Amino acid sequence: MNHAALVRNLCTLPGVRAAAAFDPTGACLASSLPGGYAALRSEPVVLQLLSLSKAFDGVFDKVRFLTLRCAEAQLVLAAVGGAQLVLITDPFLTLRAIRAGFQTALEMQAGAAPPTRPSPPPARPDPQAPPAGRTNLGIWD
Amino acid sequence: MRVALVSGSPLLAQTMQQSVARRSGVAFAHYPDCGGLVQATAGSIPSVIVCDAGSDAEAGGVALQMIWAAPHLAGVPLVLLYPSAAEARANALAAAHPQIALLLAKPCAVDRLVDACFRIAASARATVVPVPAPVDPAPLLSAAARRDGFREGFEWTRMSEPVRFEGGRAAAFSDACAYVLGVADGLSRQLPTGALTGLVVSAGAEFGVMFSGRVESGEPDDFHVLGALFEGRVDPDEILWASVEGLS
Repeated sequence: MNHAALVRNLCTLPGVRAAAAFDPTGACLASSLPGGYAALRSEPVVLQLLSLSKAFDGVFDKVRFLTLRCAEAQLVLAAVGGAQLVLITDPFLTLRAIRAGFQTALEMQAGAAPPTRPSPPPARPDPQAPPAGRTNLGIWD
Repeated sequence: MRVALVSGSPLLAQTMQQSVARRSGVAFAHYPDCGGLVQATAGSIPSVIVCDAGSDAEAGGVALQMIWAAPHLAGVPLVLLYPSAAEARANALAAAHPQIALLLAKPCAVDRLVDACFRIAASARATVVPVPAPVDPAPLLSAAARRDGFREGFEWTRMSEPVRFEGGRAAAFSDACAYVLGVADGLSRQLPTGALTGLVVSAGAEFGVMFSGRVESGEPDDFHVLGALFEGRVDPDEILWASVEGLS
């Protein structure tokens, strides 16, 4: 897996501020961490962060996502292909959006989509919307 | 998910309320105008806003400007319902305002509208309000326990008070959360993340959530943590929402 490309793609997603990939020993495989997160280049800090998922070994079979919600930012841990991805996102990004973001980034890496920033709103107008004047149950006007 | 409807039509509000009531995990609120929405949602941000634009779409979205000007509603996806005669105007509005996630011409099946709200809220960057501090843990925990998909929950404090509402695996989850809380406290001093307000651990078929907050006792370490295990089919953000609502 090309971790540098994955990190780059994750950083193009709405709400993602920075990303990094670490191996299980805490060695950095790829990173786009801004200056304020320099502590995440320190091995003891990284190992502490990576230990968080392991803390739940006795609770869950396999932790897929661990999200620390903080007042100013969100830290997301995800295991992808033997590496631990760390994302720093906007504080209010939902888990569904994060999951979808990972899927998009992985698809980008697989070449299924171009590495461009996706636009937030879905298609408009709704192509499945009933034509004007059509009668449906629960209709209102 | 929280759906907010802005409409002058009580009939639409009633029909949508009935459609929403048939689904789990959805809260619905009706506001007769945009001003009412902006005021009432200052402390509880909706996941998606449905605007029954009526003639406003023809008038250039004057009332909608109130939503776009409200900082707490920035980024909340908007579904715009418009009279079919105003399609050109509605398209122009949507082109100018990316917050409009979907245009629907009237008349429209309400169930389809509610389905669209689900789809949009799931894919958009819906907002979640972090648990405010200080918190009273009892209503938070009972709100979580009332939720669909709830399995076990716990309450824990750093002041070594007895653990309450304990379950089998909840004890292990409680221990893990205590460890995470300690690490997160250390990390927050080294990283510009701010204080920890919540934790979501997702394991596919199930997940655990934790809320934290300082109780107003004057003791800096009087730190409450409460958490719960849920089935994976439930949306963790809905749990956070419901628990925040349980505080009010």
